[in-house]
Amino acid sequence: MAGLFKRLLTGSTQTKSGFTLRSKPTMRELIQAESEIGGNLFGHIPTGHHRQFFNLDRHTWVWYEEWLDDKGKANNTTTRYEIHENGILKVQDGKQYYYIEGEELTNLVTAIRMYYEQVSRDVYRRDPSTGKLLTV
Amino acid sequence: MPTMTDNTQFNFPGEAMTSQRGNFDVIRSQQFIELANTHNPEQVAERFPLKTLFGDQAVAGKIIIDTTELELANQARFFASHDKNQLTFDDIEPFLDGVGGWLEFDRKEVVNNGRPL
Repeated sequence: MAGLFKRLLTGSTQTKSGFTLRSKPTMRELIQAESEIGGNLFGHIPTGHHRQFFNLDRHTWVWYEEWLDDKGKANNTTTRYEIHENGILKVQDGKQYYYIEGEELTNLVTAIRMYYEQVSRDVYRRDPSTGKLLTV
Repeated sequence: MPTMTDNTQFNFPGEAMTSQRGNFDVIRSQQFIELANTHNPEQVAERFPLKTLFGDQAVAGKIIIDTTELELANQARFFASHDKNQLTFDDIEPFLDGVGGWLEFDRKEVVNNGRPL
């Protein structure tokens, strides 16, 4: 799964407008398509930024953002939200891990709900509420 | 997958499902299962906070909801019912587990059987 995670963050698979449709998309392509939807859930993305938010697996959500600073240097940050039995652990390189709570927890849950509803419709063509395939 | 036997009783053969949607409040909560099997739906809905996701439908005892989309109004109602600082992981864990399971299910379906993106 770690390999998949790395490829997702560094890969260049086209989605939406440029997706090469095959009869059976790969798991990577599906998650890539989801991540583009996820990256747009939080409003305007500043010029020069690239953002992804996606469900990596049943217990892991990922926020990835990259941008160029004033000197043109590439920067990026990856945040993992790991669902454990006792809470959601926020994991960032070089920072102290902690279980999110309060407003941060509410915001993440809201984002996940929006993600699920849009991904269900736009990627899997299912009604997010019933799971039934959409007919239109 | 939970199955309704009447308005107040339902059975869980094994662990909670991952492909049945629309019943965020029925997932992996032994407490909820016990309540549902021993109380009427109104009492269950009253005591289980996620019932607000489905508002009146849950109160009406329709534990398995398969017709109504999750509207923004329901989301607003859900979050409005919780003080932001009071929303806990226990409140949302069933929902998170459900979403994770359903995405997993959908991905496998498409990878194995193929469907358009």
